Amino acid sequence: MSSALLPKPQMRRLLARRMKFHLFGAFFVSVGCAALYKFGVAEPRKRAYAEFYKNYDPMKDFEAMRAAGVFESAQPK
Amino acid sequence: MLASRAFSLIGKRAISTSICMRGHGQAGVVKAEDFSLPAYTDRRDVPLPEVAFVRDLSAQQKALKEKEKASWTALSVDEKVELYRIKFNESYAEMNRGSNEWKTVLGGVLFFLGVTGLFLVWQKMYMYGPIPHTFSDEWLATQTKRMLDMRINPVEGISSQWDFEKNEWKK
Repeated sequence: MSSALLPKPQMRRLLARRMKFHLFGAFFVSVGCAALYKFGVAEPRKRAYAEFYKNYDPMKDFEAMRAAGVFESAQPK
Repeated sequence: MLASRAFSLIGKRAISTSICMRGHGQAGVVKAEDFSLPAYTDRRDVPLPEVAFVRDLSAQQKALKEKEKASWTALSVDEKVELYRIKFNESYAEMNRGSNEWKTVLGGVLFFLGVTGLFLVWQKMYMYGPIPHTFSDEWLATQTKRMLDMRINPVEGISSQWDFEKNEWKK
């Protein structure tokens, strides 16, 4: 044993300290994941759909598909 | 046992069954096997095991134990450490020490993954037959063209990557 005494370690409230750390951590990690998903996946997807349908003409799309010959009941003109 | 041994000094004839039985009867108890007695364990969640680590003390250790009954301030640092080592095998620091086992484990895992990879290569070369004709380049091109014609996944998927005016993939 060394002649100098070691500093007295933390004896009490060990679980409380651990819990506080993990509660904060869990909260921020989960909120962070949610925020990441929202702004990485959900918002771009909503924007993509909005962009797509902004100037979407279904009849024009249909005629293009018919011309390509993918329909059975609507033959190309 | 002791009674029958004492009688053997007098003469074998003196040893009678009853004395032997009596000697054995006075002992009476079956010798407790080691595994049935409380045992010492080095465990993080058991800070004070049921028995001390050292069971049979040497003469020196017995003397130290006697000294322990007096005032503890009379004990030197080395004696205190010796008393600790009598009671415990490893300190918490020693008990919790890390090891290099993870390197062995990781190495073994990677090695066997490599062996598996070699085996898969052999399989592809010598065991499997040819892949279906629907994986040929011509077929895949026709397939993709048809998917674009049908406007598959026009919002975020494949048809959104094709420029229908210029008839080419979007940059």
